[in-house]
Amino acid sequence: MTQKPPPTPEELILEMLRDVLARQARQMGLTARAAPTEKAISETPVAPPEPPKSSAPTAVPGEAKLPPKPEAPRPAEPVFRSLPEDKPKAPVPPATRRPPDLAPEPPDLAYAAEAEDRLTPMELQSLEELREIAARPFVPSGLAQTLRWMVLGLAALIIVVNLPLFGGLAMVRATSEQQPLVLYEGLLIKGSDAAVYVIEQGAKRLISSEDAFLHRGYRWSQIRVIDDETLRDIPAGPPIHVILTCPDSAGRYLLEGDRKRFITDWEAAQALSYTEADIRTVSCSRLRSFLDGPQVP
Amino acid sequence: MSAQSATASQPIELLKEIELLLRNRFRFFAEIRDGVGVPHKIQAMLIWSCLALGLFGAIIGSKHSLWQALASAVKLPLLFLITLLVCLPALYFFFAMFESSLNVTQHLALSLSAVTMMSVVLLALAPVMLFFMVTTTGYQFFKLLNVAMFAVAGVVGLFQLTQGMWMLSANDRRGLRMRRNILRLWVLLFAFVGSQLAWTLRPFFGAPDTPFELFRGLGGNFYTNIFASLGEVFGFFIVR
Repeated sequence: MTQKPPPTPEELILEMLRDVLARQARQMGLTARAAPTEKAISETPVAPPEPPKSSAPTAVPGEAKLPPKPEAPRPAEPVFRSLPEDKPKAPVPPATRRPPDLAPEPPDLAYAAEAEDRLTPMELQSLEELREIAARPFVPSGLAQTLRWMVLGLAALIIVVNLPLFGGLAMVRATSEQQPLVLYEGLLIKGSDAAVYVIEQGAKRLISSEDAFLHRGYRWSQIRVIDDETLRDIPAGPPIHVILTCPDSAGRYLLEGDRKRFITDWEAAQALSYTEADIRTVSCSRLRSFLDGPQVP
Repeated sequence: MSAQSATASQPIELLKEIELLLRNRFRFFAEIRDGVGVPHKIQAMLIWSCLALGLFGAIIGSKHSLWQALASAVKLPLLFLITLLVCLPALYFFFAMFESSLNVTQHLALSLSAVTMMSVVLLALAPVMLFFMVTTTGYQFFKLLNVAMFAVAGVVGLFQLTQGMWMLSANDRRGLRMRRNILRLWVLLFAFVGSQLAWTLRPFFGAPDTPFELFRGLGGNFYTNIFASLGEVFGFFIVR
């Protein structure tokens, strides 16, 4: 028994070319024609060419001719002809081989099966499992009721968190101090220390005392806490003070922080842009509680 | 009396369809494939999706104001349904071209099942969202949390869609691979249309310190906005 020598590169290339040609032929509709192997080619006797018939086209040399068939409509061709890569095709007997433009034949079942996309064994198994799951009887387990209660519960929660229960603010909006900073006129801001500023004309103005803050009608809940770095970046404007007086006294005092400064000349104070609207009346005991500072000239 | 009880039990009957979708989605798909109660299923999924998405929209809009909550409750279901309507013809006609035997109603039912699944996921995450809204601050964090939740819901929903489509169309072997590829592309299309429509219908959350607005002017896009939010959350810069 002699061992067959390994194929040469030329033989390998030839083999590949044959394979490609066979696939292309199948793709073009020559499905009934089996790709001849090297052995088949060598063993097939070369038939002498026959003279062409009047109506039938010439048969391809090397193939058996089909008997003439009556004209009939060609079966509809499938849109796709995907070819599986590794599926060996059963050789078709030479008697059934025919060129593509001969009279139609019944639909080629082998071809029709080939045009379908094949599923891998894993996919088939998965599909079978899915079908098995789908075939299981369905018994409701009360999930529908749970969904119903969940919807009702969430709707109730949404109403609750939107009720203004926290000093006029809804629960869900009560924690909003870390929201992005939009500098607008009248915004109250503070950093990590106690100083509170109001934004006026793009600048931050220090509100120098609690009385000045309350006199302007601000509320503590309006203050936005921002980081010190951002606060430093905002340009500073003149501070905001308030002028205090008490019912038992005609004197007016400019309050700067915790010190009150007696205003000796109201007209001079008005020149510093203070107006009657800046005057806040407090109890005399409260007025006396502030330390005295230098007089306002 | 019987009419009354039938009316009372109708919501539960609709919810049973949702239960079937959640507990045995393959049976649900098989029923769609076989044409069993498809209009009823569509009705149930539409009602459920609108309800669940409306609730989630109301939650995320609550952070800004009551008006925003109401607006988001309407806009969020609209976002999903309009996206579906925009993308459905592409799915149906491409599938029809590649030899799918499903009709347009079955396609609608199948894609609606994906939206329904997304709405279920969002509803399941709604208490988490509510918790963070009440206990934490930070608009950008809140926004990114929402994007993450929507992403999770989207992945679950679209996974559901691909599974359903696979099961429904596995019998039509011709063109099966091509339809699979088309479905992958369609999922991308759905995501892009959805994100762009979300940007067009914004705001859903409402930026703090700004007055309520039903729609905001066009400008920018979804992706740059998300990158900006990421930048602020990770401390690269502050969004003003």
